[in-house]
Amino acid sequence: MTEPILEVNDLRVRFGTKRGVAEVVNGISYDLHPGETLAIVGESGSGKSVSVLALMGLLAQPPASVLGSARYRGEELLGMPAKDLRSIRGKRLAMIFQDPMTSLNPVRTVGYQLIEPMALHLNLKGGPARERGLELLELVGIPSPDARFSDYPHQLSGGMRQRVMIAMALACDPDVLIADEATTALDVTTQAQITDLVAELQQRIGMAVIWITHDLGVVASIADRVHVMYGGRFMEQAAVDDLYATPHHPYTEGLLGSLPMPGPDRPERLMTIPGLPPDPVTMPSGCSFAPRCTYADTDRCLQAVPPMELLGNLHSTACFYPLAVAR
Amino acid sequence: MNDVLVDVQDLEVHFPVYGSGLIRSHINDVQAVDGVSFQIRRGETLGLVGESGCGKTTTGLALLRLIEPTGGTVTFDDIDMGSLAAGQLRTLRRRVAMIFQDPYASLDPRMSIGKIVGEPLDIHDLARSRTDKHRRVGDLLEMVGLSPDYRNRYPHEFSGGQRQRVGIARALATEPDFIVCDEPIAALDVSIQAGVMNLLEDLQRDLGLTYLFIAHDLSAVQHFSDRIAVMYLGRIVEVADRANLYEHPHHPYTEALLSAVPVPNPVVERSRHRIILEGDVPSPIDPPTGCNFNPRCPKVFEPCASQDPVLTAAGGHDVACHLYGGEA
Repeated sequence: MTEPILEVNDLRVRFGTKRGVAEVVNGISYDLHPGETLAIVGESGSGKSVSVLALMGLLAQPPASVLGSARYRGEELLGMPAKDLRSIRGKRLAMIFQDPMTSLNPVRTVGYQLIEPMALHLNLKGGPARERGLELLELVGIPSPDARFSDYPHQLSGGMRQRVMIAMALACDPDVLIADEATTALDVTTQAQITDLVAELQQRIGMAVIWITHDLGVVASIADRVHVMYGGRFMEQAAVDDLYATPHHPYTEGLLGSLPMPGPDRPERLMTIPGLPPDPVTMPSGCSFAPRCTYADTDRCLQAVPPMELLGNLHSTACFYPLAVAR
Repeated sequence: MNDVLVDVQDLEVHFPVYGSGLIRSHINDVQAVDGVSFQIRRGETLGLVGESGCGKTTTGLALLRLIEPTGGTVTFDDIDMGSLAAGQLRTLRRRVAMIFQDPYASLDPRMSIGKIVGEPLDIHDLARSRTDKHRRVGDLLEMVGLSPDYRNRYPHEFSGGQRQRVGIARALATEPDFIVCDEPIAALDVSIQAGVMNLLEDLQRDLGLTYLFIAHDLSAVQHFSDRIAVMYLGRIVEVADRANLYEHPHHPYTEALLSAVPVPNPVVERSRHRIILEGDVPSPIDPPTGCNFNPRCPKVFEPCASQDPVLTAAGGHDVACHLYGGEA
């Protein structure tokens, strides 16, 4: 196996709030290898976005406090001086955000925003920068890039804006692309265009992608490996096929069962997960899913946090009573 | 009794666009809904699916005359909605209701849950006494899976899924026959969506409701509907029952839409062929001539750019496409 390009170890993020300390990310670890697509799946409030913002150094400290370790090619990112971090972020590690309307600057042209990272990281200016900008717009499938270059974001559709965001992220040939709910705000046909585009670019450039989403349908179509996140922890991690075929964690089972499956047959009743996600200020002391879990028992599940255990071929889960496992 | 509860013919909603000069002359129209016809039978769910901006919400609003249609007719239980005066319309509104998309915006933050759910009872004078109203509000909350003790709480004290249940209880207050559900689950988390869908299903079974289920999520629409109407840029391109639409989509847009919906199964995902549409949806101010879908259609041929296709029956579907002989 190749050297991991990104190693995250026991990452924890807390926020000081008026009500107390909110424990949003509670010790997550993973490796990312070159060229692979890792999906982090979770519902809103599970900590998935905060976990990547933390490793990109995009959380203001305080109110946040970030603990643990995140190494890019062996170099520690957490606590790295801002100046050094700036030479990696946006260049080697790039990010696309959920809402392309609010993450583009409305008073600058597409071209200006596209050239900005090149001037910063590659010292590319003037004619050559424009040249490269046009190339990128073409690469992400924007028709007549010449005309679009001097457009403002409001003149573009949602899908086009997201393409511009991707072009900006790719400006410096990153090794890692983090897509945070990058297609959530888009229509399905546009979503298909964007996921297709990222997969194609990934093959061409060989970058690794971390895809953060709540949509298990999207995950099935793009990911190599999946980590299911809940209450700031990983509940289960597996290769995409294994996860969908044999979910080991009750939460994963519940999530998959609550999805309407497209198909010709009259569908069965959907599974539901009772209750609500935990409040990060008053996290349960045991497994974060235990209060909603139908299999939970009072002695173990509510008392102790189950450790992540390897149960099969690269398939691990953090549960005392994993499903579909011969014991 | 007529089998058809809601009959929509050539419904049209055009919003005027005015110039920016001193004399704000009427220069154009946003053709949000442009000649939509469909029927909903008693007790069935018709799914209305389409991407953002296709006019599906406007259709739902115009159906209940929450927006005045600029053309066409809506007949509800043999009553022509368009001909009703304000007072008559109000009486009829007791029999129809709407569930809105955003449970954060559709509940008044300064009204308690009990007041919100009880308001339709006051408006239509349905409660005999204060105790009767108290009892009925309690029953309604129970029906949607909330405790009647919540009646004195305010919307901000509830989660998204619970708020949507309050919105459903409010819609049920007048014991309507017909409910327009406008993206009722789009704003909710995955694990919460299923609960609300099951609730809507149970209520339909128990109360004999008829639904128009509007959504952009084809998987949800398919799960929920008996028949599905697919909308694109202000027009209906195809109507068929759910199994038929899934197995044999006729219209090229329906085909593309179906293929774009990600299936939560990686094995299936790898084997399927995805139709990637080129470009974006054109502006409804200046829709293309001929078929609205022709600039993006992978199967476009000669008559598409000049002639409007008409919704015609073809193999159990109603489809508006020249490939199936739908000529004007």
